[in-house]
Amino acid sequence: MGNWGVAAFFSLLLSLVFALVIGIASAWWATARTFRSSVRNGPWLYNPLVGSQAANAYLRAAIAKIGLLALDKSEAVYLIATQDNDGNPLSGSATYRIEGTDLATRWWSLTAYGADCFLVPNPLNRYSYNSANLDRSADGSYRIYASAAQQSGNWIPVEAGRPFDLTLRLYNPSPVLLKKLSVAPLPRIIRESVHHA
Amino acid sequence: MPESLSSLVIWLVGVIALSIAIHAAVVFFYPYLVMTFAFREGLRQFGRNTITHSERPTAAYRGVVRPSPDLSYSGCVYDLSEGPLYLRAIVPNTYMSLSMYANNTDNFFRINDLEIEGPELKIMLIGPSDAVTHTAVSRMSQVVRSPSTKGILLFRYFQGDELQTEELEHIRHQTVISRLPQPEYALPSVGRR
Repeated sequence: MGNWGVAAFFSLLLSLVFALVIGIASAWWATARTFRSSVRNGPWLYNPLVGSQAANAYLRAAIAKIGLLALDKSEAVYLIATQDNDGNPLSGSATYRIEGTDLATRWWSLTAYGADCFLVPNPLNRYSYNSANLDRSADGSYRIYASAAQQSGNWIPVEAGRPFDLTLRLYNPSPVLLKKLSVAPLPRIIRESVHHA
Repeated sequence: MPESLSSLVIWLVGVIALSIAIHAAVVFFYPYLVMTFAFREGLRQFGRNTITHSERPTAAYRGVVRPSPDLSYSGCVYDLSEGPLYLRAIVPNTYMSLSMYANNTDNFFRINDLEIEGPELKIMLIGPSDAVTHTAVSRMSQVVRSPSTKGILLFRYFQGDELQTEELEHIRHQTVISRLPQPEYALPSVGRR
């Protein structure tokens, strides 16, 4: 192969690498954006097409990335929060108080996940609370704490200094709740304190 | 690299066209790729055409993302290439759902305990082009057609508290999936009556 042949080969190779980088990066960005453009209620994001056969290719790819084997909305609604109610990213550097009341569902659960979308390791093996196992106030409302520092009451331990997110699962939501999910009184995520190393 | 303006334009158009094709291929095939890994994980965790019951997930679990620690999962990777499968499960006194996923991640079927009439669920699962005989159907409460030959079926059982564990474990282990309809058997004294 002469000089021209070598130059053409590397030119083609470079073109292919360019196309691969642009194609893969734009696909990754577009699928991430698909979920970010979901229905928002405070810090909670929800996409009504999750688990549905009506999901388009971008949403299918997004679900494959962050919520494989999800149920459709008549069975369960998945709301994900990566921020508190003031818009700050959730981090193990702070203590959060999550407070709310029961919604019109058969049961619900609140779970913390690490940045890898798996459960956060902790000595208590406590990863979540559900509507049947948490301590409540006399009026039925609840408070759950997400923090790396020990808390009294309903406490979900998270890793110090590491980002995490919260998933609220609503099982068998009422038709009215499904219809008005964007304005429903979902749990508030309040940053109580920031820990200093 | 292109040396003249016209060859630069041709090069740019080529790279953009190739990028669009790669973008579309990644978006389209990514769910299938993930499901292929899920099948592999499912075969490791559950088995092919065999219901397996896993422990409630902990932080050590690294199979499918966002596992729910409030649920016990039972499931299998199904393969309908050799014909239909017959599924029977006892309905517990707590939340239970069965969901089925095609090879593109679509949740094409789901049912929960409140929607099942009677103490048990009986399903005949058929492939995209399987014919169904009337005799086989008459023995089952539902016939479900999978849009793909392979897929994943998953039972979710809600464990609100630890007290339910023993009864649920007993019920979960009565679940049967087989190539032939199961003979009638006496229902255990647990679950919905």
